[in-house]
Amino acid sequence: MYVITTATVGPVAGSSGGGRADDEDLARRAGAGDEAAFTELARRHRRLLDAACATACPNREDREDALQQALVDIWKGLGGFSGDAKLTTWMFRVAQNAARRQVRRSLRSVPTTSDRDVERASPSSEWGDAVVTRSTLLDALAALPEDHRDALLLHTQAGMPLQEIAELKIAAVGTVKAWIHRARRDLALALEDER
Amino acid sequence: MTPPEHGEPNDDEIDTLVRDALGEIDEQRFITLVARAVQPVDTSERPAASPGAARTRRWTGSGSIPGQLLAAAAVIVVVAVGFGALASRNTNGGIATETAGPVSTTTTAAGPGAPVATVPGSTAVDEVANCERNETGRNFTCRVPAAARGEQVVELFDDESLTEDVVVEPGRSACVEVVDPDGLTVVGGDCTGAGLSITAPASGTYTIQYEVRSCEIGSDGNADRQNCDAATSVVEGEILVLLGV
Repeated sequence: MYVITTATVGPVAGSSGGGRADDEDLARRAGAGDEAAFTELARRHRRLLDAACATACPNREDREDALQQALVDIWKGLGGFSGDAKLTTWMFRVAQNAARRQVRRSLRSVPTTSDRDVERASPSSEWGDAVVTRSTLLDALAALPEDHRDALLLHTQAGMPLQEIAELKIAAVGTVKAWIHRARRDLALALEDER
Repeated sequence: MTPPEHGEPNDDEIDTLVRDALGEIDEQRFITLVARAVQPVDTSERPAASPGAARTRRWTGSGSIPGQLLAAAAVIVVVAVGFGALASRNTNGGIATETAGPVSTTTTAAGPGAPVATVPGSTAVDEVANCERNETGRNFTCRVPAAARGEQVVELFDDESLTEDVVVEPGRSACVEVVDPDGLTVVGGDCTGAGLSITAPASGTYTIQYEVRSCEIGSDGNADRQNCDAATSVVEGEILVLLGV
């Protein structure tokens, strides 16, 4: 499970203390131009950034482009990061903004053959033998209210604890639980229709 | 694992299906993207992760406009927000009388990724009319066919030229807004990056005033437009809107 502390990664050279303090130290160094610190910081939050981009940009190719731009934006922006807000909140927003821009760029481009129509989710679940088209799931995800989708993906993709999602989304933990519950329910209904 | 009820997948199964459908970027690939991010890049282009992926065009041309200017602004003020103020100077019954001359003689040149115009409910961005960006990078011509007349809404996917050079400070959000010529009435705007919609009451030349600002994030997680800093810079462009062509 992904947790936004140093508990999930090994110690970082030049840093001291635990968890969040290490992140801030990395951010300061990265903001001053330390590429190694930035690399470590980004690696540590890979799943968060990936999930942030996925909230707006589920298509894999677009998402990778969005992720690339998000990393550029974060690298350029860390020098101005004041620390008033939680670093992960800021990184999430920067990445999500990059993904939204990527979606708009894609809208402008000529549609190409997509893998969404042919690719299917791997039948790894115990949910019967039904074959669930990936496109059905992605469409259902796209149709979710933004907060519901954000909460679900931060929880399932990034493994973020409910409390941290609540802080990031500026909402109560109970609200986040409700969002995730409703998201799962809506996806289940969409998949049931597909069967 | 909880057995499915009535054939529906349970929570764990839903989560697994979501993870399978979305996939996850490989760590090695991710490190490659990180390495690219820290490399100096040409200011006219950004690194593209995928081969052949569309590169984002920044404002180019005369030094009076956005890309470089906003990038500088972003550095100076640390934070920034693209604020697009659109003041109309209509030729046909608009709020003011300043015009851009005969619209039929305007010369434009489309660039890659040029913004387009559409009407509410339309999903195909090229379906209704095109907006073309001229060679200076800051002026556009939008042609809205007669069938769309009455809707009179132009949607410009253009605020990214501002926000891409801007990193939003923690606790703040980026917005693009459209106001009347006096800057008093907001007639359109966007804080989500979904696109900028404006009402074009008539054919004519509209002046875009891009302002760099930052806004607080409200309790709903969106930008609180009532709590924004004063603009730190203003640059202008023009949109020539041709309705009913």
